[in-house]
Amino acid sequence: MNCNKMKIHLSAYADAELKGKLLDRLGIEEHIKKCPACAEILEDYRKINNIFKEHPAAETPSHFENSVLMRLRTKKDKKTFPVFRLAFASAFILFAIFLAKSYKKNRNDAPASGLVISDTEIAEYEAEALDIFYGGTL
Amino acid sequence: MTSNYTEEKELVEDLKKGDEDAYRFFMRRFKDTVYGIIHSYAGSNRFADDIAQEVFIVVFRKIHKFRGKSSLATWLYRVTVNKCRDSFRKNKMTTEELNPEHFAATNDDNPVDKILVRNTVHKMLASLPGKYRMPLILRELEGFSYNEIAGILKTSIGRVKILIFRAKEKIRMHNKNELQ
Repeated sequence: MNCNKMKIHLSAYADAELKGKLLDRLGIEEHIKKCPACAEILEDYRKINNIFKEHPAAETPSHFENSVLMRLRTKKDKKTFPVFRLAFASAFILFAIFLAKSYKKNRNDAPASGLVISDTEIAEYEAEALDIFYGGTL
Repeated sequence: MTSNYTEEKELVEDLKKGDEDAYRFFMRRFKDTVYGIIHSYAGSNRFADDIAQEVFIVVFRKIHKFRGKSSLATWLYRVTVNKCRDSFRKNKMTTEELNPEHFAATNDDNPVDKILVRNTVHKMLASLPGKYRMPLILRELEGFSYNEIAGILKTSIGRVKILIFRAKEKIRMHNKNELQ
């Protein structure tokens, strides 16, 4: 195996992920003994691992659990909110349908606007008819 | 009194019921790892706290969808990884270099060399693309095996092996002098 291919396995070898028959088959240990460049790379990978191992764990804030539970309750409340919104929207739509229907009904009951005759017009018509009857100006 | 669970099935059932003791038990068991993953990925406490809380909220709210095809822990860590990626993508956040003063303020007995190691690690991680950073964090900081990482990232062990190799190779090339 050439050094470029070997490098991929060296990283896993440094992580102790290659064991048993697979390790024997890849011949990593023999290669390292013969190849100083790969031995150096393996050493670098181990140094990198050690730097990571020394890394102190981050501390979870003490309020963490309570904050999650509080947010969870708030989110639950928010979840119920759309139900109210949906109910409100449905009620509004029903009310709008009711309004539209009653408007339509009123429109049907009312006379067409062109046929409405005002009291003044009736009085004028009656005066005109009397004039015709009694010969008036004609 | 807080419950103690020996069987995962029992814990899942109580989580599905919305039992607060189960929530607390679950968080106590996993919060440090979840927080650690996010903290290492984000490089900042400011974001880590918020994202970690969101992870648990998502898990508790979606627990009814958990079918047990993987372990509960694997499922949780998968949510963590996805939440991490989504938060960074959505908010266009970048990893932040850590300020040593921040750690001095949050942890009184934090010696200077610990702060330096922390900064070195975060500089190394910040130099990596996200796809290399996450497997490396899971492996080197959280101690998961390649097999476990493959389960969390829903990929093959071979791919995990290559991603971790590329991450380390990039770090090695960028830090040749420091590693001598």
